[in-house]
Amino acid sequence: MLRGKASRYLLSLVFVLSLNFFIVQFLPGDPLVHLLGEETYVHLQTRNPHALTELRAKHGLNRPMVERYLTAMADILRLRLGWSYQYGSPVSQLLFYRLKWTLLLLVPAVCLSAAFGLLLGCLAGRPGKNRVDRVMTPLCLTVYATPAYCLAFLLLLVFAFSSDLLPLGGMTGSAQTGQIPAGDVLRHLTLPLSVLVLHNTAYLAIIMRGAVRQVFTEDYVVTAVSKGLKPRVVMARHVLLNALAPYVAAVAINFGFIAGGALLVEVVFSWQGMGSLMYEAVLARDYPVLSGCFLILALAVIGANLMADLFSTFIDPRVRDDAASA
Amino acid sequence: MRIRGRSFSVRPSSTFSNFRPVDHCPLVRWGRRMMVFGGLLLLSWPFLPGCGSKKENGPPAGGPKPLMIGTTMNIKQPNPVADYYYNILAMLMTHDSLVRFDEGLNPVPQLAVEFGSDTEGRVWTFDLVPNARWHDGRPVTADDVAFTFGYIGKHHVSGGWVSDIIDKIETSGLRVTFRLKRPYSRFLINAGFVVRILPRHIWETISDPYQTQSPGITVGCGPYRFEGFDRSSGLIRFQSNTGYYGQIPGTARVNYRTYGTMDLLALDMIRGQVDLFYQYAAGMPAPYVDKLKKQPGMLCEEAVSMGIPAVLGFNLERPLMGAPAMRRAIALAIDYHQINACLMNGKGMIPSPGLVPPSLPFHAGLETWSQDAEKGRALLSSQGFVHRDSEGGLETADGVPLTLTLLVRSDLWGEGQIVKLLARDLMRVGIKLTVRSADLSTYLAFLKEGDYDLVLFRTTPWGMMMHAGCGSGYFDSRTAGSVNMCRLKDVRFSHLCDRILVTTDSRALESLCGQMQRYYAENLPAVALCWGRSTFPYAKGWRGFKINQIEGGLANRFSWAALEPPSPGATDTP
Repeated sequence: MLRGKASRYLLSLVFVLSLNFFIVQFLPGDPLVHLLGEETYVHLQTRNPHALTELRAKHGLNRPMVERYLTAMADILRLRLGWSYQYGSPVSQLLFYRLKWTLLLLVPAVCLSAAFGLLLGCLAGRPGKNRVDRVMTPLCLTVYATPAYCLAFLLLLVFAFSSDLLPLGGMTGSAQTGQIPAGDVLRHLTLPLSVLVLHNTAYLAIIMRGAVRQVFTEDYVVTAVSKGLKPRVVMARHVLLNALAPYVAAVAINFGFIAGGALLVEVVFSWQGMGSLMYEAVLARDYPVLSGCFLILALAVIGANLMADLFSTFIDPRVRDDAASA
Repeated sequence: MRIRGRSFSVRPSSTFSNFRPVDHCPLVRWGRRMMVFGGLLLLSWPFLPGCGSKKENGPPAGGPKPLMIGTTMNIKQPNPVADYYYNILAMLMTHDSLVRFDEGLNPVPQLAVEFGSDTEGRVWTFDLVPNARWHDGRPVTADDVAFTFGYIGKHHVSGGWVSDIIDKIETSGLRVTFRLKRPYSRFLINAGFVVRILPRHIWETISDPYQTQSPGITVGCGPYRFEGFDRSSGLIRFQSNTGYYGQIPGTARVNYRTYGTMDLLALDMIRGQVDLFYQYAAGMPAPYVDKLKKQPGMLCEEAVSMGIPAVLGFNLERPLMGAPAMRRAIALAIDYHQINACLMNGKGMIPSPGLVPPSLPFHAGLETWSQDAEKGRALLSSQGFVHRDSEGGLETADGVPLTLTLLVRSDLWGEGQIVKLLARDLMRVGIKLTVRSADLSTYLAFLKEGDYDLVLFRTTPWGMMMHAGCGSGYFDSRTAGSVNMCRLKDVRFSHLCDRILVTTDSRALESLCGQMQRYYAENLPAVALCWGRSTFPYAKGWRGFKINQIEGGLANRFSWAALEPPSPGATDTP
């Protein structure tokens, strides 16, 4: 079974990377605009077009598309991600730096929101008179319907601008010595993390609530209740376990997109994560960086789905049995 | 009942509707506790040790207050040759050029104490200041100057002009002589000011300036030394150069903080965390200015912009746009007051057909535009267009609707509003607009293809100085080649540019620049939609800021020489 899944995932990876390569390559525009600056680029068009041609050759931009594609795939296989002509540094170094800060922000965000979403969803999903549901569901819907960047600005105005409790943006304060104190990072992390946790929790709680509600209507739950099992046992063994499958899939998607960063929140809080890196790379047509970003994104999404599959196999005997029979 | 050896009894009272797990389930109780704890933790987070807010721009213990400059320029690497935006900071802080230009665009000495040319501008001589030193202590020599031009010509992608213009560079002691291949009156600004002199002993070991991470590349001979670039906080730090040959800055430390958005930067200015706004070729965007002006801790300096915030260019290679009557009809349809109100909050100026703003030298002072849609419609009727469309749109005699394609940049502030106003104004004379909005790369690709009738662009102060000045670099098809806003190929215009380029006499230049502006007014290769007024806000307490638009605003060499930090104990924050 695992071999079959692995080959499917491998195919998906190749397909996604190829698609990303061609989409980016077919975008109109010249990456040299951003390398040179607008005025210089325009100036060179006539004054020294030979320099532009040389520069294109140097960055391999003049080669045929198929050749570039094959080279890109071969480089990915050898983990040679190349040099960013926009940042003037190796892509791997750039990705490592950005991924570090993205993970710092998004791993706690996904874990916390998964835990809060689970709890809120369980509480709100119980049938009968449910005060938690009456309060939490509209609240979650409101938060989820609010764009993340609006929520970010709202929190920013309240907790940073008006009350001066937290910094407005950035990832650290002025690190004069090169040593970044953990407290300083936590202080800068608080607002973007809160926004992501609030937004994701609202989304996950709604999913979990629906799943719990659905499971409560199943005959086996009625039977479990009817046979006198304690409510905690009903919730933990019969409801929670069965409601977890769709929830895990949703959390896995969140985990998968960790590597993609949270662009809008990153922009609002000047957080230098993967989202803003990819956005800048698209605008600048920085192909090596884009290629590296898409590799990490594809690996993360596929890896997270693989984990979700394995987890589903672990918690759901039906999936396990299907897999065994297959 | 027995299932799998386990018995249980069904209790009739435990019906589904009476299910009340909340009061009994430990999971739920635990969840509630966790939520309360989590909420308390979130609320108390800012008060935890080390997590409280602190003034990041405050002086370090015993040190003077640094000047904190906020910018949205996306600086990626501290490389003065390869990074476009860091190159601007290098110009402001660390790297000197041979000469500078003051606010009136007059050349003033920098590394060259004496400079001049022969009468036709073919031989240029610069005598260097004797006591200039690089930040690492080595002396600045004429050899460094000659090396810099050679290095840029060989390694910088935009350095092709060096071999195009310069025939030979001779050095003798502290004198550098440039012998040019042809007379070039604008050598002082296009080479003397633009080229930041590099230390030979560092750069001669770097074969590719675009792929270097050598720590020495930030070394210059300017009034500030580069101290560090902290990517995580977006902070770039500079320390005054106490061995500077010129006036040593009164402000010992200057920090630049990069922001992802203008909103954040403006909020930090209001909070007193940022003393000054800097953006190359731009003042503070109008929507933020009013708010900042109301802050008790802020002051503002204003100047008429040397660039033009919005210009409507015509693709002269398109048959429709090639007709002067069509261009004039479009120009007459535009409500310039409305655009000024929208783009500059009414603080800008109504432009004249001469295009060149009054802040630039040799402004001709032509009569400003005024909207006259009736006259515009009459001009279009005279071109054979007729009203058949029920919506008021014009059609050709063959029944083809008159629809023009407008190319705009999506990444510039205010373009969206201007497009709406233009669409409304042009519809008044019967012209429909199709808008093509694109990011910079795509925009330039569309320009190159030439698949547009109208193009919306802005000009920078430096852009207005390019080529023969008066914005000629944007129009002369010989200079901008395939990426040309208007593709102007008129020999009259080319001849005017050439005459300016071989003239160093200021009276002749005044006459030629006046002719250039009258040419614009007569032929309308483009129409300025608004002349800007740049506003530069800064924190109260700082004294001595000078405006220099060619360097980008209040942050400039003339300010560094005159700037005094707030006196100790003064409250400069709101």
